[in-house]
Parts: sequence; C-alpha cells; structure tokens
Amino acid sequence: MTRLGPLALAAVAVIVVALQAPAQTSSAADGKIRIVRVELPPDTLTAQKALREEAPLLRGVRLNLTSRSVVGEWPTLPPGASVPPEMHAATRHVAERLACDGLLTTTARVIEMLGPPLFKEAGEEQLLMLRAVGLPTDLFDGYTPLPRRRIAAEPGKPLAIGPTERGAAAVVRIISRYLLDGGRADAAGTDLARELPSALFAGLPLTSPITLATEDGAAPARLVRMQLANASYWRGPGDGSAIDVAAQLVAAMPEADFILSTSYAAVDAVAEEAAATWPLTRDGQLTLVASPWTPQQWAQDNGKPGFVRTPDGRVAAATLVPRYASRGEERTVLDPAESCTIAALEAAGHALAQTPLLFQGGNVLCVATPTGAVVLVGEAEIARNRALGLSEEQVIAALAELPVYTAGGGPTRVVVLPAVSFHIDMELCCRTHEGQVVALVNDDAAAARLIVAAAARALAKAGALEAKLADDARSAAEAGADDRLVDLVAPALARLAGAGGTYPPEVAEKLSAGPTDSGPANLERLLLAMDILAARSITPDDMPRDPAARMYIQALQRRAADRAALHARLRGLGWRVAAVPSLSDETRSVCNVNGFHLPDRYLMPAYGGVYAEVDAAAARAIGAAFGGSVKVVPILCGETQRRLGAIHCAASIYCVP
Amino acid sequence: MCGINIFICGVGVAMASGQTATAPAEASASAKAAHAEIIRQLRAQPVAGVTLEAFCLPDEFLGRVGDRIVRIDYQRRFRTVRASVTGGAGGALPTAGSGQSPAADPPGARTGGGATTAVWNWVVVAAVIAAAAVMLSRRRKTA
Repeated sequence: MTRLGPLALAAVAVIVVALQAPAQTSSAADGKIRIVRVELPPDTLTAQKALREEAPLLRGVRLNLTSRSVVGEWPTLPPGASVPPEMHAATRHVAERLACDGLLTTTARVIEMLGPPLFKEAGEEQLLMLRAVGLPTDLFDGYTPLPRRRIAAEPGKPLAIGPTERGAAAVVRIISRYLLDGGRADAAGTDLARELPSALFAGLPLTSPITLATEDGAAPARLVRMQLANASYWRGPGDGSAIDVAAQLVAAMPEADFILSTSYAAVDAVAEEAAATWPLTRDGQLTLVASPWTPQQWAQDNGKPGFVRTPDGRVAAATLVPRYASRGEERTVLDPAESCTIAALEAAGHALAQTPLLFQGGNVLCVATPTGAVVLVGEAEIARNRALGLSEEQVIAALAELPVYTAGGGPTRVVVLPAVSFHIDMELCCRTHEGQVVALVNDDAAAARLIVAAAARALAKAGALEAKLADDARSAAEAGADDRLVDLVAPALARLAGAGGTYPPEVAEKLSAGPTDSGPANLERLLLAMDILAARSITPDDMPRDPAARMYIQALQRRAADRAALHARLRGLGWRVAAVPSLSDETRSVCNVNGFHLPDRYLMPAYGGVYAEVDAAAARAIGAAFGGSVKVVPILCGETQRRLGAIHCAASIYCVP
Repeated sequence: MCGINIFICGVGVAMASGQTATAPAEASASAKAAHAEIIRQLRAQPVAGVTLEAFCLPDEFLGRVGDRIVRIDYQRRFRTVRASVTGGAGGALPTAGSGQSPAADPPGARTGGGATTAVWNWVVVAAVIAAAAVMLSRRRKTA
C-alpha cells in the first residue's frame, strides 16, 4: 500500500485544487474515487504551522474554518514586547477574569485599563485592539440588535446612545460611555446587563445559513464524513481500527457518499486500499481530501452534520464547524490539525458554516421530537463557552438558536447532561419510535456480567480456569447475582497474576479469540468488569483498606449515580430509556450505544472477539426496544474502542431529509 | 488508546502524606476530603498562563473530571496487563499498557483485599491531578 497501484488508478479521478485556482474543476476522469488535493501557498502553510497545539493564551482566539487559509483574521498569540504595558496587563486580566466576571464586566475593565475615551467612538480598529488582548469580540454580536431604549449608568442618568446602534462596536461604545459617565467597571456586568440582559442575548450569528441534521433515524444517510491518519490496520482486517471501520461503513451504507480526509502522505495508500477492498459501486462515491495535515480518526468532533439549500434549490450536505477544533475536557486545547483538516473540505466543494461557539461534536446530539428539536449537550461544552465570557444561560440560548431540522417544526430545547463519559455520545443515542423518543443507554452492570462470564469460559477453554467455575460464573451472571459472580471469579483471577500482581502476557493471550482480538485489552476489560460489579455492592463499611482502591471504587460508584441521574433526566423529558448491555470506560469500553440510527436500521458498534456475546446481547436488547422493527447492523470497532471512541466518534453521518 | 501519558510533573504539595488504613467512618470522611482535594488540585493546575481556577468551573463537573482521572490512573497502575506489542503501523499506541505495576487490590476485591504495596496518599492524589494537565489535554489525541 505504499504506491497507488494500476487497479486503483483506474478507478481514481484526481483533482488538484490550489488557492490560486479555487474554481478549478480539474480534468478528472470519471471514477468511483475522487481525490481532491488541497494545496496551500507556502506563506499560508507557514502561518498554519505556527498555530500552537495548546490551550490558547489568547482566550478569544477564533480560526476561520470556512476557508482553507484558516488563519489571519484573529491574533493567535499575546501582544509582543513592543506594545504598551497596559496591553499586557489587559491581556492578563482577560485570561484571569473572563470566565468568572463575564464578557461585559471584563470588557469594561479592559477598556478602563486602556482608556475609555479611546473607545467612545469605537470602530473596527478598537475591536481589533480588544481582540489582541484576548477578548472574543465577535460574541458582542449576541447582544445586538440593541434595545430601543436608553441605557442608564445610574438611575436617572441616561447614556447617550441612540436607539439604532448595532453591532459589536456599538456594545464597546456603550461600555465606554458607561465608564465615561461614571460607571464602575466591576459593576458593568450588573449595570449593563439590566439593559443588555441575557434575555436580549439573541443568539450568535453563523457565517452562513445551515440547518443541523438530527441523528435519530428519521432521515436517510446521504453522506458520511470520516478521517484517516493512514491506511494501515492495527492488527489486520476485522480489527476495528480506523480504516477497517471505514470499509465496514461503506459496505453498510451503499446509499451514502463518503468524504474522507487524510494527509498527502497517506492519500495514495488510502485510495489503493479503498479501490481494492471497499465495495464502492458508484462514480464519485468516495471523495478523498488530502491536505498537508494528518488528521485523527475522530471526525465527529470537529463539526456537526447539517445541510444547506443551494442556489438551484437542491439540498446539499454541509457542516457546522466550531470556533476552532479542540480537544480536552475541562481545558480546551486548540487542535491545529483538526481545524485545518475540516477547513480543507471547502476545497472539495463541501459547504461549511461556522458558529462563534466552541464545541466538540461528540458532545452534542440533535434529536427531533414531536414538539420540536432537542439539542443534548454535555456539560463540558457549557464550560468551554463560559471560558469565553458567556453565562450558562447565554450558551444555552445560543445553542437553542441553532437551526435544527424537524419535520413538524417547533422550538429547539437545549438539555445539558452530566459528563458521565468524556462525551455524551458514549452514553446514549436516540431514535423516535412510534411517536416517542427512545434513548439507548449504557447498562454497564449487564455488560460486566456478560464480560466476566465470557472471559471465564474462554479461560476455562484455555485450561486456565476450571470448567465448573466457568459454568457457575455463567449461572451467577444470568441470575444477576453480582456478589456471587465476583466471589467466584476474583480468587481464581488473582491466582493467575504473577509476582506483584502483574498479569503476564501468556495469561492475556488466553483471552484472545484470534489475531485481531487483543488478549491484553480483553483482560483489562475483565478486570474492569469485576471492579464494576464489586463496586455495586460495596458499602462504606466494607471498602478496601487501600486508599487508592477505595478512591477508585468510590469513583466507580459516583459514576453509577451520575449515570442513573442522566437516565432520570432523559425520562423527565418524556423519553423512554432502553438499557443496553454496554460499557463506557475511556479506553476500556465495550460500548454498543455509540452508533448511528438510520431509517430502517441501527449501525451498532461491536467489540467482537471474546466479548462478541456482549454485542449479541446488546443487539437483542436494541431490537426489542424497537419491537423488532429495526435491523441491527454490527460494525466491528474493537481497536477504535481501545482508543477512546467507537463508530459515532469516528464518523459523521449526514441524514438529510 | 488516546495517548494518555501520565507522568508526575512535580507540583508542590503541602498535604500531609502517609494515609493508611482507617476505620470505615474515618475512611468515608477521608474519601470525601480526598475528592475535595482532587477538585482543589485540579483548580490549581496551570492552563494557558493562568490556572484552572480562572475558568470558574463547577465543582460537580470538576468532580466528574477528577473521578475520571482517578479511574484512569488506578487502572493504569493496578489493572494493567503486560502486553507483547504486536500491533502494526496503525498509528496508535498499543492497546494495553506495556508497563507493569503491582495490584493494590485484586479485581473485585472488597474489604481489606490484596497487597497494598502502593503508597497512595495525599501526595499521590495531588501528583495524579498534576499529571492530568497532560493526560486530559491529550484526550482523543491518538487514533
């Protein structure tokens, strides 16, 4: 797979897109695979390479992800040594206070530091100055249009602003005049919020119109977007690694087109592999977008699927992109590669619209209900945007303003969910069935019982456990007798450990069903399953003495409580919660709910191997949840699950009505 | 695997060390204090020229983040399987950790189980949280 073979070349059309020739449609011959090679001018590439993969030192930084140039409109680094010291002080103040004091108060303090008269008649130049110290000035747009009334710095003392002032600069002018009229910067948030209250925070403008698609199986899949770092399997076909998942999704969705981002270095090998082994049937079914950047597998996170209407009235798939692509949970790390990768799609003719909000797509799920859309969002996304100076209410208001498609219309409701897993798509997926939303959720205890029983059987088969013990374990698992199951297996498992409690490779290999099934990873899942079951019954009185083990068990117990609360929250929406044997635990997951609902089927992430029984039980539970009307299609993704995700994390599916 | 590389990056810790086995009631109180300490240590982590304190994150959220760190760290240190790395050029780390460490308690252990070779105390709690700066910023990095 190092060079593009003749077979692959026959099916490949090559389009070279350069900034200098953005309209070039190429001399491509017809083919099942289209390659768009995104070329960047050297100075643009140099500027992109200068982006730092870190939590931005300038909090308000924004990248232009609707253009492949990406950088240039916002400063990405703090002011240099040549600027006046008050600029440095203001930059420091923004970093320290923006999240806690909010946008208005922090801006007022910054203006106070830099000199209110300078901003009395603020325009673009003053906005740039505020950007330079880290203020997300584009978020001022959320406060416009301004109320048609006068702003009072103090009761009875009107501010001289006109009723028709609009735009971000107008907000700056208001703050400046508030200060010049004797207003106090530390009270600006309170004072100004009375007149520019969050109720008037009318959402944040997108760069262009887009309607978000829901992920509830109501509409057919038209496009699948994925990302590949390379064309290699981790273990081999069937291992569930990134390229293996891509091949399976192509087979599972023959009706959909695919757009796949990769790097210059990998694109030929990916094209060759796809041409040789993927069941492509139509011309142009697969578009490969090659850029100088090497993307990660997680296509879900740097955009949300949607659609736009083209000038000729067609509906075309489009992507809503965030302020910049990011990683991290409680801290938001700007990811240059993911940012530039998604922006490069513009070169392939894929429409992109950008919101000023930060988000990671796996933590946002859009669901259509009979009364309107619901946007489920993980609490980390609220925190991410509060760091920009928005209040929780403002973030929710801005999310609620995002257009989400529902057949019947209706308002959009935003529901914030606790971070039980890193992203909410590892905790649930939703489908509307017979007029009611059904949420498939993790039942980690059920999964843990199946894992222990399956592992005991595999170990017995390999001679590492007594057959009777495996039989007894199965009986206990089927009876839901967690205490007995743990008591049966724990001593035997402890005996398999070597000196110091370490499990040697030869033990792990007994838990492998074949070359694509990782024995060590399976053994780790067995250990986790035992801990989950034990944690269910451990009381404060019989906690392990070891402090580390005690904290670990308590962390497991708190997660179980959070998960139960999450399920209760979903029930509170009037939804039906269907428990599925499925386990989400970072890189040790056996997760079956991180899947995709399509009109007639559910694409279910499957772990396979020794734990195929968990997949089978999950498929039965999912089938039963929908009265047998939904076909469950397993997509093997074991290696992907060993990397903190599953198929919903690895793909973005555009279900367009 | 997301490229989680935990290392101790040396944060000054003023907490007393030497936490040892205690009575259940004390253990419960100690656990709550430890959880609060994890949150406190998280807030003290340096981020983008300031500390996480400057991000005004709710305790509930940070508690869940902290619990995730505790689980990952414990699993990495005490639930890790020595693996022969046989993977290909998939561009990712081996699935199971290639390191090894003694088990603090056997899986599924209840009261008093297992060897307690690990000294897991306040200092370790703090150090684990210190490592989170690297660990969590790399979430979903490798795929």
